[in-house]
Amino acid sequence: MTHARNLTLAHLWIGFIAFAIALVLGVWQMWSRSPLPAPFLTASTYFSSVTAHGTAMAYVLTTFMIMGFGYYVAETSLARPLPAPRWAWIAFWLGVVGTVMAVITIFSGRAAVLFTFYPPLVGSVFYYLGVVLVVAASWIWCVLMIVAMGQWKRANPGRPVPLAMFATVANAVMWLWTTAGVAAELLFQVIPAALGLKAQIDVGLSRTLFSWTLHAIVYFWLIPAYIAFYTMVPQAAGGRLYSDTMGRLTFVLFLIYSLPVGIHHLLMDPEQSNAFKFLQVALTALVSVPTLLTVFTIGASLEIAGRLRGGRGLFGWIGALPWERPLMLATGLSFVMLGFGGFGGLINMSYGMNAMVHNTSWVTAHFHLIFGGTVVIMYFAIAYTIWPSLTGRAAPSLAAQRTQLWLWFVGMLVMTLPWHYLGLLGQWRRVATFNYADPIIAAWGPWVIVSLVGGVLLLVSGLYFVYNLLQFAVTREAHVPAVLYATAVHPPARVPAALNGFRLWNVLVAVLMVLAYGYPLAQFFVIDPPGALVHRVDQRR
Amino acid sequence: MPLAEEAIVRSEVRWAAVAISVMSVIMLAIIYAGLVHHINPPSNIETIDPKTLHLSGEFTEANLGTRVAADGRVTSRIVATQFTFLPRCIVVPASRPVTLRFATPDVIHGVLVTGTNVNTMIVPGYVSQVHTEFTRPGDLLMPCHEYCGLGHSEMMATVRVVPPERFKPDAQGRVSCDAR
Amino acid sequence: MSDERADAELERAMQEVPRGALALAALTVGLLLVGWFLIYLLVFLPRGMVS
Repeated sequence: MTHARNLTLAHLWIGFIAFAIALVLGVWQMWSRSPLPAPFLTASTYFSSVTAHGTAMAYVLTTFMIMGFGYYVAETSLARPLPAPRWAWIAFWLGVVGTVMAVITIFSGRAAVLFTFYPPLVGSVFYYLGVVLVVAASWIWCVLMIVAMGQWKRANPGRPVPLAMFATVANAVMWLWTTAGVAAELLFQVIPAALGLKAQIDVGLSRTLFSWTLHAIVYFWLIPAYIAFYTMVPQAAGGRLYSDTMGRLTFVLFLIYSLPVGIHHLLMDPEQSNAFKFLQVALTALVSVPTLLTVFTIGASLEIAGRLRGGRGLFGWIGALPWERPLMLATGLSFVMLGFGGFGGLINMSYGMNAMVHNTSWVTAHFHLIFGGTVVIMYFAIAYTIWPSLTGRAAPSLAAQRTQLWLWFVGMLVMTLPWHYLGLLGQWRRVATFNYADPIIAAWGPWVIVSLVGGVLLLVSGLYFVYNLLQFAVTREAHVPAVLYATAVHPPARVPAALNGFRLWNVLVAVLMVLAYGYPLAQFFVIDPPGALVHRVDQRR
Repeated sequence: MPLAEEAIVRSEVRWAAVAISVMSVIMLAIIYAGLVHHINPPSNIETIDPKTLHLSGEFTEANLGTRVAADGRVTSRIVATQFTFLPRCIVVPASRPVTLRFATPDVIHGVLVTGTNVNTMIVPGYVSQVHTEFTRPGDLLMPCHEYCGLGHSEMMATVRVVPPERFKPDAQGRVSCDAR
Repeated sequence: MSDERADAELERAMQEVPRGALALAALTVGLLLVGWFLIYLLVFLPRGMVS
């Protein structure tokens, strides 16, 4: 590793510090919404906290983790130094400045707009500029990933790009496509309004532009976990990747189908028609396919490992797997949470069924479970796995890592399962306090407290995670280099160009986006709906 | 020679067929619910100027709440605004088709009605419309479920579902919640 | 371990693969489908018509 070591450490630390702070805020938010009296609680502090929690978890933890892990994969899987490391550092500082700018603005109470922005509510321009800087930093990362892969291909003509890098670049390409939506919303609508240049906003247009980004962004977060599943977990389990080709296909399917589905976040909106809602629901059904494929492919890869270790029978191989290894344990726990979270997602996307759950705690449960659970537990495990090679030290205690991972798993289920139930009962979202004197709401109280207990477990686990990383600095034992990346059962000597690059897929994405989003966006310029007045949240009254 | 790559790919294709069949079953059930049970997302695409809706037309204050038209159709009109609903309580009959129409003069709101499939965003610039039939009498909660500013937590309305025989419109066809 | 021994071990292990993975995946997806239909039939349809 030439440049990646410091870059990866720097990025991951920023992400994890933001994560730890956001955890504290999250628990306080849950306390506020429970029947138990919480300190410092006002509407302003609550909604500023929600904005900070969402911004930190959805924009900072994720982007910095993905960028840092990407640099690591680029150097280790391609066995070459990163191109233009100076640009990587420029991107890092851009992201840090943006984060600090956004955080200061939120904590000064001038950006209680939530991480989903919600125009015509408009906050201080410095919040949005902060987010823009983080996105700009990530765009630099995307270019560096694409360039790194391109350089390797020129130096290795005809050879398949290592799967970990192929997947990383698929993610980068997808990110470039998906950020176009939120970038357009910010650049043409929200920031001009925040600067006082526009007094009205077309809200239907802004919601539709944001929805363009809103689904693929979660796959941006998810793909590093899948990179670990395909390229690191089979090795950690002592087995082989069942099929390298299916791995490539999975990441290609994510690239294509995660983008033209954003309107499934607008199923209850009046500004889009049933026709396009149904079309995007059908496409959403397709984006579930690569996940269903992954369950099988990784299952088969783990089955190989389990049987090599003596496991017999239809399910005996599961018990034979090396569960004492943290990456293996995290994968098992992640898949359990994927089952629950995937179930919630299937309900959400089911067209008319969305009416049962939209803007209830069911939705909150779903994304905390699928992202906070399935994905973030893998972020922990990836960090634990690469920290020895980053720091040159051996892991001080695998038992501590395993305990932390179990605590996260249990906490996540205890927190989110009651939320699913409360959502079906009608508990709605983005509320600072509930009136527990109302009999319908009073019945929810005990479950809200159960959920809070889950949140506290998560806080303990999250802080334990940071502690476990800090322990690497204290230990003396040197790291013994080991093979990181898995080998496929049949490592391909060649792969078709379509599974080694993205030219064809970019064309397909463009076609699908025109089909799925062309009219839904164009309609705002055709019917020209009346604009809504800007409502500032950042002015002292 | 461990399992050949062709056999591996074949097993993956077979599994993909299973996955696609499962998703197809779900899609068919969705289509069935939409066509046969008439459960669809509310998608009205009807624009209205938020800046003037209180001045004239359908959503002036005098016209809000539940009204029965000459042809017997029950429509309830509600304005969602920071941070209340106008009116804060509506009366609807059970077991009869009801149309709910919402508009807002300011920011994004949204409503659900507890225990029902009534759920819609209320977006400035648009009229949201939901057709439904309430099945059981009782008082239901209709909170604002989308963040609309600092007063969002307090924004709530009541939907009072009354048995059809107790649904008695006045001379102008209006029904409103009594102070009971 | 020599390459031939590793290959032989792998071949033996892969006699059963992917039967176990198929069973696990089918069980999981089956449960998902059952869960989805339970919500569909017991919660969604009874909540009534809306359009």
